[in-house]
Amino acid sequence: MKSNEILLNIENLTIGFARRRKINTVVDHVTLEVNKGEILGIAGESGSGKTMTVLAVMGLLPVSAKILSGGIHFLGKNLLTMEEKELRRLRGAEISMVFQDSMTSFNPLLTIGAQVEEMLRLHSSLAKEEYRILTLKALEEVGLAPEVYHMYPHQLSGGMRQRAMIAMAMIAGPKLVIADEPTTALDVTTQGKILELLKEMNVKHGTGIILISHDLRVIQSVCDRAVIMKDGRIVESGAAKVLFAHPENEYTRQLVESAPVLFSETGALLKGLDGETFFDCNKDEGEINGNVVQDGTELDMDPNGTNINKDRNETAVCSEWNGSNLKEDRTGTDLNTGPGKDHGEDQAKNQTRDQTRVQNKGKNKNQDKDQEEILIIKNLNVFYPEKGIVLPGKRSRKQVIRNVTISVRQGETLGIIGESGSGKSTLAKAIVGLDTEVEGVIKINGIAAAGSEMSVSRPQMVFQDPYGSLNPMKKIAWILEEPLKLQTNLGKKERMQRVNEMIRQVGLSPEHLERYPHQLSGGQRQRAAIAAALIVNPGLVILDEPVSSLDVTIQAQILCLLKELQKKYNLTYIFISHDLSVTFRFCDRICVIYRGEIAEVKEAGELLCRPQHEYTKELIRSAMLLTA
Amino acid sequence: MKYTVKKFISLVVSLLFTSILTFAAFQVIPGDSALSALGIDATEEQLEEYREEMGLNKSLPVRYLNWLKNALRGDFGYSSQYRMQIKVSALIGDRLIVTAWLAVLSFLLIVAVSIPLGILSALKKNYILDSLITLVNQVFMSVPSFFLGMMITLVFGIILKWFTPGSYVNPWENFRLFLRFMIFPAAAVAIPRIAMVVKFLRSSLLREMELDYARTAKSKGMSNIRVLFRHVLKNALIPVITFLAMILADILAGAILVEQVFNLPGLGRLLVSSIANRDYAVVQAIILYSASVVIIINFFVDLIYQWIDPRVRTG
Repeated sequence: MKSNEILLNIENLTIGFARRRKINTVVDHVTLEVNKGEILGIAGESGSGKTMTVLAVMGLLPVSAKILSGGIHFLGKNLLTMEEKELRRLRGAEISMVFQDSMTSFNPLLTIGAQVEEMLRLHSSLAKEEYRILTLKALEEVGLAPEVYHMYPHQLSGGMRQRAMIAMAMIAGPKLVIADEPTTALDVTTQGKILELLKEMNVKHGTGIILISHDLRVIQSVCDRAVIMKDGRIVESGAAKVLFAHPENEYTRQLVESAPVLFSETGALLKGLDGETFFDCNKDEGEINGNVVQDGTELDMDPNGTNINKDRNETAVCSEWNGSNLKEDRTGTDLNTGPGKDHGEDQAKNQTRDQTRVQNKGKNKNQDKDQEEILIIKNLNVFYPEKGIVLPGKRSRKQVIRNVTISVRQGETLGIIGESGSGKSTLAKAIVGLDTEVEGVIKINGIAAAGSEMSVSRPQMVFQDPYGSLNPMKKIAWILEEPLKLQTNLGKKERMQRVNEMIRQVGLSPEHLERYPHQLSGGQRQRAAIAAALIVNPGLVILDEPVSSLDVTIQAQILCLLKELQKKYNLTYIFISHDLSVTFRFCDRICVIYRGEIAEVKEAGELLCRPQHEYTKELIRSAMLLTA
Repeated sequence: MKYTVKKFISLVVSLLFTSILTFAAFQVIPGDSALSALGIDATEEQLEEYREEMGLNKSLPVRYLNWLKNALRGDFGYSSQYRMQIKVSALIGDRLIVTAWLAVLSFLLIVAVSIPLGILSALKKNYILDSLITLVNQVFMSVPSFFLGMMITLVFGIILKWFTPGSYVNPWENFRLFLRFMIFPAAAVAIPRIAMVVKFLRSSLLREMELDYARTAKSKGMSNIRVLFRHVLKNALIPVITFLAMILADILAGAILVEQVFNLPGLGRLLVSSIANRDYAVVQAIILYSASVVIIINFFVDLIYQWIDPRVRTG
């Protein structure tokens, strides 16, 4: 399959944006090559220059971007000196692209068929009927029904659109396909299938693929070779397997470590975040409230901690999982267990841990008896009014949440997972009281000491996109102060005092108060959003995809901050995410929502090891596909 | 189909509401229509007789229904400023022909000139031609129509003698002369609006050109011009259509100042004189007409959307 012929060769490519006589370099001396029939992965965080690099290959850089030096050769031909007309002939026919957001990347006014067929029309001259036949064949090849030909982009699901996008990219028989974050906007179950499809196309047609992703799991699962980019430079490159198993560069290691890796290679074990990365921030504070999905290595390992990996603290074996392993309170001494501790010590430690487990039982696992239930939901039904001819007395509405009954204990973190459209965000909105058409019981217990002026208020929410949810016209100080104005009787001075205190709590400094949201980085914005949610001292915080739009290294920091704050203020979290690995790592219990109903609710570890509902099984299976 | 039915129902309901509001507004205005029809010399018996005859003693809903019934037949009664000798419908009918022609001519001018100019301006972005178009645009946008009308009369009428100012001929007398004359007021109405549409279309096109689907089209190997015509134009026209519809409704309601400058017997001038003479029957009819025009045009815009945009069609 692999011939060593070089398809694409990028040499010392440097791209910069000219801004007020200053040149801002976004791609810095990048050198890479793609061989025929090879899948090359480019990984890196947003802003690392990966997309700019491939846009330069396509000749589609934004006008303000200039290629400062270097060369791009495709099959020996220099693309940078090529005439625009010749380049156009190459685009689509020889090099084509699959874009990230298939909804916006298709023209909404034309049918899928017309848009796929157009690619063929541009690069060949056939009879009208032949175009149609070939287009239908291409659609069939990516697993789409012939009806799709006549459908419009908005009528297809995200996965189907991405398939159509692949059909469009492949139809003219290109030698190189550039896929820019092709699965990022998709649900996990679909992600795996799209990646399989890309791989299949690669094998079947020998097409070279450049796969760009910020998600290491994606790169790892399909790529032969990979390069890691940071700040416009390639920091490391090599065979994908070797690269991720033994990262040499400091940044790669950081990336691999903070990457949410859920499953080990056997695909059966839990693999949480490394003890070090996740809990570094908590070390000096000693005890950490459990919920960590522990690290594990092999299937048939002794659950009592006869661990081969001594530098890892603990092993959780799925098959023999007994519930308490995962729910344990980990103590500071646990954390200090370093490499070189001998077996005996490990066992001794295990014993003490068993004792702690007993002590903590009331506090942790069976806390429902001792701990108050902060949120009780009974037989909840939520509806959306449906648009239609409104007849008096009769309203049509669509049920989004069906008969949901669940309760959340104080101090616990409940995860809600499900596909987009499953109703998880609707449920959250109902709890906060943003949905009006609600039937059933939602009870939120006040837990603040009576008489305190900072009385516990309604649950607060932290949203996915802090840029969109923070008023862009107001400074951070105003944004933080506003909820206090609305919900408390504090004077101006006290309010500002509290704002100042809060901003430090989330790891920002008072100088950030004088900034506008757009002057903060993504991570800082999310911190500010968290501060705004916590400032009124809510008992219950709903986190709606709080880290989904952040880079992995930032993700870890924010999750860490949330954990710290939870402990400090005894907060209860409801954590909504489509990202399984983050959820399993972060939550005590997980509730799987499928088509508006609760498929199952279980302790995180048990759910992962013994999923019962078919849908949960599928979710976990497809998440594993990514790392298999 | 369901969409069309829905929009049609909403059209009928809106028209009904408009008629109620128009009718109600004139009930609030003080004054006795019997008195104003018969004059202050009329005796109480004559007034009573007139009220009885005209149904003015009946209850409000009954009077509304009578009025609506007649209005639907095109009967709005008689105009008081013409001493009840001319029917309101005949009065408005004549003027409406003039205004409608003015509207059609200027609208055709707007569409025929502004869309190519807008496309050209967007295609030649950052070139001299675009800057020139933008500059001329700025000037014309800020000039009011009536002033433009005066300039046109001065330049084309008095200096160049392409037409004789004030020589309006009714279309039913000599249609060719009528059209020749109407071109000039139509231009006066159209020019500032052309400038607005060009600016609007240009920015809409440039915005759409930046979107992902335009990039996808370029990645297929299409030239910029082809991307613009095949993919971007239709998308960019969607907001422009709304804007054009607003313009059409605006000129159909009568361009009062331009009519005044060119001495056209259009709706706008009739409205002004009817208000001045407290000729309520005419004012009422014109208001009902103007409001209905806006509603009906919006109905057609909705239908056009449905035709262009599959997302509207299939929900």
